[in-house]
Amino acid sequence: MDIYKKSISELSELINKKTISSIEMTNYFIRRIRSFDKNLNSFITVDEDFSYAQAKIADKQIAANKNTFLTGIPIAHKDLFSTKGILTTCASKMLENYIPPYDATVVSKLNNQGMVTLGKTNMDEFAMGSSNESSYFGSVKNPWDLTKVPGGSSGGSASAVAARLSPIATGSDTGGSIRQPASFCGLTGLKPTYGSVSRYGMIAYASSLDQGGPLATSAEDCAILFNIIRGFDNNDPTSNFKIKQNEVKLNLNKKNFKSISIGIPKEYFSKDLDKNISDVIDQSIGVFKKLGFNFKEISLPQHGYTIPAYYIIASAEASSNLSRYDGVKFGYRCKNPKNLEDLYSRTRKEGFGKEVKKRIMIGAYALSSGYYDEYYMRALRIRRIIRDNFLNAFKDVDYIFAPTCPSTAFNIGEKTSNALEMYLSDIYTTPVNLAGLPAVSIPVGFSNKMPVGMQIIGNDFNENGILNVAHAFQKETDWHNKVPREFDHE
Amino acid sequence: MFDKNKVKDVAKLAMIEIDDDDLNYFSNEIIEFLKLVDKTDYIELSDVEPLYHAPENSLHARDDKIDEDPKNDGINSSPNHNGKHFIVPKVIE
Amino acid sequence: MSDWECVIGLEIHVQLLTKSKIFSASSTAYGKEPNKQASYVDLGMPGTLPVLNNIVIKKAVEFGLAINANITNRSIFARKNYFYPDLPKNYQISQLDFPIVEGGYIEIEDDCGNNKKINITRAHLEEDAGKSIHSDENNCTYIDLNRAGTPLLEIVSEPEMKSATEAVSYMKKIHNIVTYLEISDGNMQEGSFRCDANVSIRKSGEKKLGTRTELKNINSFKFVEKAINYEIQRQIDLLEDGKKIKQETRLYDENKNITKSMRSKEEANDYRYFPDPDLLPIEIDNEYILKIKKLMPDLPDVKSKFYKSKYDLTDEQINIILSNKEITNFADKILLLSKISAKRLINHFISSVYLKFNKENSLALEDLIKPNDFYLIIDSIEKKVISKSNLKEILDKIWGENINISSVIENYSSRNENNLDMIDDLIKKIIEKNEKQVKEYKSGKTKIVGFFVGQVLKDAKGSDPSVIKDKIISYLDSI
Repeated sequence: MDIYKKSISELSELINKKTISSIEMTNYFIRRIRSFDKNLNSFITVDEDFSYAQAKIADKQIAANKNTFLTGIPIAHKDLFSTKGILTTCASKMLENYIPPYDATVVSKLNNQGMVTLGKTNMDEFAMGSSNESSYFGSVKNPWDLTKVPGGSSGGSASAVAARLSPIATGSDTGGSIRQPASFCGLTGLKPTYGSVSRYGMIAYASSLDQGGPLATSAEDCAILFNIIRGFDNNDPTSNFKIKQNEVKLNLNKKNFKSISIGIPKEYFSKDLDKNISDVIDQSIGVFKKLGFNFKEISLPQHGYTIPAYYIIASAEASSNLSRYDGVKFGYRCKNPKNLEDLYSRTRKEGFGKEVKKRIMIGAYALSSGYYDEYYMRALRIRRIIRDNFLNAFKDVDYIFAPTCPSTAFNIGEKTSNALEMYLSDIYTTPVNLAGLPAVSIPVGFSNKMPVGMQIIGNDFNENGILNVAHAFQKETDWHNKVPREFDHE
Repeated sequence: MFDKNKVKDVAKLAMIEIDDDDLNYFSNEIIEFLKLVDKTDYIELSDVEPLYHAPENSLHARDDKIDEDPKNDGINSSPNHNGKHFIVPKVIE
Repeated sequence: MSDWECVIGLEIHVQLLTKSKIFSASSTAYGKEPNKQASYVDLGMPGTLPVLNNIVIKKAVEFGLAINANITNRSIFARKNYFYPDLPKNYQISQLDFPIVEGGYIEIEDDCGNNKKINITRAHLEEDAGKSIHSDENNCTYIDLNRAGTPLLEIVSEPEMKSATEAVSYMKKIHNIVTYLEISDGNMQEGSFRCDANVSIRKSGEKKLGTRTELKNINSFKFVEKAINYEIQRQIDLLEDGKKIKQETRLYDENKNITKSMRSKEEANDYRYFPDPDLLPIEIDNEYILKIKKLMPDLPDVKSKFYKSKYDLTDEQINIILSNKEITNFADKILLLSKISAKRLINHFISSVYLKFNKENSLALEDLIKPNDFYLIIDSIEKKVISKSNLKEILDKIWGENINISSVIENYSSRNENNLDMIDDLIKKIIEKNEKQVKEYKSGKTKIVGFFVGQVLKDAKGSDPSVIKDKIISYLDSI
């Protein structure tokens, strides 16, 4: 039946028609994880008993006709979403044994739909990284080429969905952590507008930038999941309640394509971009043009300041957010502390990995007395410029297209000794986080046998628009249905 | 100027013990990063308002209500507690 | 002392009177089992987020209006970063650059009895920390985070007080405002109202401030006075010995009545304040401020003047009425109803309802007795329908009960009438028995009436002595 190739809607139909039970479907994917994940390392925790218990309940609901569209369908959660009773490690030694006593809002919303949690996916430690190499539990492999990284920080989710070990997964995006791995693994990944998906229970990296979202095989599946996880949450102080946001409906009519204008920022398609990638993107723009969409060159100046601004802001927030890991209330505690300071500083030395420590230190420095204005405040002013540039552009165009990454997935170990180069690979994704906008990365082709992603960026809370545009492309093309050969069998 | 002494200061602020290897590693890494940041030095920003959140939403506040079903069992997550209190090495005041 | 002048500024931490904490829905009630009132948010569990309790905004605005301050239209929460075990997130959510209340002043009486304005720099919202319990025995510190996240308003004065007594009057005035407006319960034993004092001295006439020391966490008016006086003398002694004052934080030891240096907090800390990325600015528009202003009761100072000019109440009476807002509201209502002298009415009120309420105030005052009922009782006493001595018994009877007051009064008045017949007989009998005393009376020793009154009261407990006295006199005069 090739269940692994099915979309969420198809899986839902199988369950609804009782062709297959949730237990069977869960078992099917757990078997795939068991046989394929040894090579990928995309999961940190798989709790079969928990999954089957959920599937059993789902089957009861199905039998009683009390099921929703998503009841019984498996999902994987990035290991920074708190799951009650299941290890939630943030891929850190610091939380190696931490079992949250509560569910993140995103998780409880999906549980309420009757979805079945397959497990918790690997990631960069505390979501700090672009390659999944900073995980305490080891790096994750890219299903398209096991010598390459899957991207990060939601690398485990991307790898798992790309290998079809899970039909869909949650991720989080602070500076590109959904879109970049989606791009590296040939998936569709949505980074929603800041404030549209609750952050409650999603372990914080940088509070003003973090946003949860789906990693899936298509815009349609992203839309289905987004419709469930979005919406105001009383437990999240930055949850949007001001702007009314309707649910996403993929009903864009071909007749309307002509009236849609798309901006191509000239700064993004400069000589810095890999020639192969720009060729692939050009071809996909050709598809859109054929469909009737209008294109226009736009400018997003000061683009080059994004990376420093992003890393200063994110590190500053992280340095404070991660202060709570001190060996007292939860998580790792060093052995035989001599005194209080020893407890703190050794717990944090031993519990955090290098990248996390580095960002904590950069952040503490940027906020320290005498440097605050020079670093932190300047970064926030650059942030304003970046957002204003986008808002100006949206006066002229409805959407902006951009490469997701300057290259395809790189080799494991290739950039670990050159952090700066790694940081610079976030050049196209971080501006969207700084500006708070929604963006979806879709697969648009291959370069040297590795997937290439392209971002569709929309104005505030226009997830409906970007997903419709992505969907229009996916109806015409087949890139999103490609499965890496090694995993393209039962 | 960011140097090894600064790394020591910052590590102290951040409560992270560092050994000599760490000291070399972090000072090199952070110095490299700050070079990148310093490239933005020449843009004039004094009349640009800082942006803390985007989109600029309003604060969401809640009503003064007590959780009717409080789950105050968080202490069980602690690596060092006696069921009643969290326990740390004696603090000298 | 005359050579030296002292300068005092106070930082008062007021615990706001709320049901739930400032950023979580756990209760603020005092005295729970350790850590049983600390939610996941209070503990800073991974993934939890602070959601502001909107009532703290209202309370801060009320305080700002009460001290004629500027309410900041866009105030910002900031994180103060430092590691300490009773601070669960290792940062405290507070306000730095844009506090919710800025400027303002109150008036106190200075040491010569003149009015003196004390300016208030700012008042800002913040969360309280938990408690550390140090154990020598086990060489460890126990942490209880129940108090973590309790809402506080920190009120910072300008250094404008010149003596410990001025500091205490300032503190009392602030205490009065926050309790009267129900911003806080003001309970000092439970730490709802505590104070840090910045104390420095300088040669009289000098403009430059001397080096100050900060006296931490003093929670009674008496101790504030003692601690400041001790500290002033300590500083004078140091300077007169040619020594220097060290800028430091000191702790007041109530038992020894001394202040001593706190070792661990000496190091200047870099708190790395920055706007809390979890919390958006508090936006307050003028419309909201006006709404709060309209709903706010008159402040104690304003009411005090009114009671004096309109009702001619004594200072003592006014202080009692203004001690608690329920009492004030009750007094206002009976003052409006009653036609008798306000002074008399309030005396009746204080000696009965007020005392009783203070002893057993588990419920709202007006749930225990209606102002109108109290007025009817007093009215009946004034009209001599019932005796004043019945008042206590009637109150006991109707306190907290839903009983028709007119029938109670009627009951007592007919009982009194029956009593009166009985009393007439009693008087007759007693006068007949005591010929010697009657003779004394007739010879002009009118004080002897007291003897007869006493005798009658022995057998007629609860009767109104003044009524009995009148009756005895008229009977004696008639024989």
